Amino acid sequence: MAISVDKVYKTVLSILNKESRGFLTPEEFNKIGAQIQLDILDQHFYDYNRSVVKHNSGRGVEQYGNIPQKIEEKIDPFYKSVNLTLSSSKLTIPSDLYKIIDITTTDKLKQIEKVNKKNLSYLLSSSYTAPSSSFPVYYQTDSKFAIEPTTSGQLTVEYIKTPLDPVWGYTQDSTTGALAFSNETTGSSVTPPTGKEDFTLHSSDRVQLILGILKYAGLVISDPTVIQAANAEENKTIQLENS
Amino acid sequence: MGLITKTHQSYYNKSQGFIGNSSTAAFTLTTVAFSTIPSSVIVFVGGKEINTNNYSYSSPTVTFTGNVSNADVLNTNGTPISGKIIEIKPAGAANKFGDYRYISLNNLIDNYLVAFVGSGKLIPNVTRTDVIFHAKRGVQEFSYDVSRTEKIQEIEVGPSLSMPMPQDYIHYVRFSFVDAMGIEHIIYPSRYTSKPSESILQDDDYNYLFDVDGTLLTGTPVINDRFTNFDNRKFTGEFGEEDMSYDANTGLQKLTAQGGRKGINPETSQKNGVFIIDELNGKISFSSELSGKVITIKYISDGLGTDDEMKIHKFAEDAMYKYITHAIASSRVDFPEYIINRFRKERRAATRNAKLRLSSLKISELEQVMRGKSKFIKH
Repeated sequence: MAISVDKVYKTVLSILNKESRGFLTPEEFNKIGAQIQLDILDQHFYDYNRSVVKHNSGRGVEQYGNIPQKIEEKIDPFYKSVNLTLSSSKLTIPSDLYKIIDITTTDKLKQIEKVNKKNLSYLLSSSYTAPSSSFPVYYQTDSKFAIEPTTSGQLTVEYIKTPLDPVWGYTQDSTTGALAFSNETTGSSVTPPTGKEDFTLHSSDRVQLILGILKYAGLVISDPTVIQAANAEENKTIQLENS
Repeated sequence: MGLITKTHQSYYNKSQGFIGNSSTAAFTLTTVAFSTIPSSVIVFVGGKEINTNNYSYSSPTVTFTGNVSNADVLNTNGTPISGKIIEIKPAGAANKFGDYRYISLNNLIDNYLVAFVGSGKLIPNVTRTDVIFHAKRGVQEFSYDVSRTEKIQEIEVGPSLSMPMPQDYIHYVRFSFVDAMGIEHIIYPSRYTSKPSESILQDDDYNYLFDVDGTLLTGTPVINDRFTNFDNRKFTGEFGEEDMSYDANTGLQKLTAQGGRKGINPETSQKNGVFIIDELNGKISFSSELSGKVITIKYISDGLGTDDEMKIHKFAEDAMYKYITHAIASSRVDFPEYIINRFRKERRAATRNAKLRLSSLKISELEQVMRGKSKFIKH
């Protein structure tokens, strides 16, 4: 479940303003939020790798202690699946692709395996491993997925999407100039007109998200104590996870 | 879920059945009956093949449109008469059965990737291409040693006394000629001659001849003609008519030696004929007494000739998984030697099991063969 952009912004502001440290504008918040969201998403892949290794070494537990599963759940909100039409046996890479999971036929019965471009010539010329309609392969270019052997029709691309940047949409009181959060997703009265956009991150990432934003906010408002406090909190979390 | 997903009718008759009700004209084929919906069909109603003008087929639906020449089973508007059984078969369906014994190579590879590959499993990571390679190599090895996929070709030997190797030939198991009763008689390879791959042309002084490019000139080996035309009796030691009758001109020694076969070579004293193989050119030649005879060639292929052949007997399925696991582990550097050894032992044990199962040793059949051992044998 997504994290409400309004809750995060208000929490950040409340921490920053507690001792009148300063103010973070919505535009600054949006930029920092986008940066931190990507940072947290990327960190999940490393955490997942580490936790799977730990889990498989016999130190993992099931149910509520199953950390790999927990991290999978954190990544799942970014999962996306689209059916794309082949053109000259090539698929255009989706613009919001962050990490490819799989390419399959639309009925999901056949997987297209990603191969190393360096080995492609060997694969194609080998009578044993040459790509076939039963076992097709693909390689990636700058903007396309090229499928071998030549295929037409549609394929399903499953991937982790790049999240949309969070936006704290607001309306401004014409008299007092006070900013109020607007839940609208579009509209001319909202700033920006595209409306609000929540964080795609899993709700369990909320604390990490706020701490991350505070770190950058500390830089923006030039207050090292904020950075130190956020870092200390983050280190505590990391130690807890690694213990 | 059971492994059989098709109906009995689709297996035994290769068809899907419907019952006519005089109102339904369109019948849709389903994947319950056919693994892939056929591109063209033949239609029977009440056991009678329907004129193709009386229906149209647009995959997967057959629609009846008329009853020309089929008025006994179809109504005027084409709908099958109520109670008549409609049977729809793919055109040119192969009349093959018994596929349940096998698991296809594609299925085997998918199963392997699901059950053996992944974090915390025997093989933590491997590309599917690697699995395909080792699985195909496994099919080959199993074809040679375990399941012994023996194919049989029957041909009539022509005047050239030669035949090309079968397209998917790896090695022969047995050559036989078939007698009038249909019984096979083994043909042995000739160890006393060979098939030269090239015969070098020489001049009168026995010097080699070359063409303008400096390439050796070659011709038809003389040994071919001699082998084709030789008198087989001289080789086998068989008696001719003239050897069995009195002739004043025949030497006394021949008459007194009648019936005596001292010094005969048992290996060549048979009249089934011999064959020689020209490995370089992929041809098999037979001795002259086999001209015009029907022969059968039992040979081994590697199981990879066509997609349909790429399958493994279920008795050997486990052995194949073990084979792939060992092959992958032993071709990588990140597996400890003791793990590879464990895989090797498991592979050997499973392969031995598969061989035993596939050798089809039945007590009752052995018993019948062994009954002959108490028979008095005259020498």
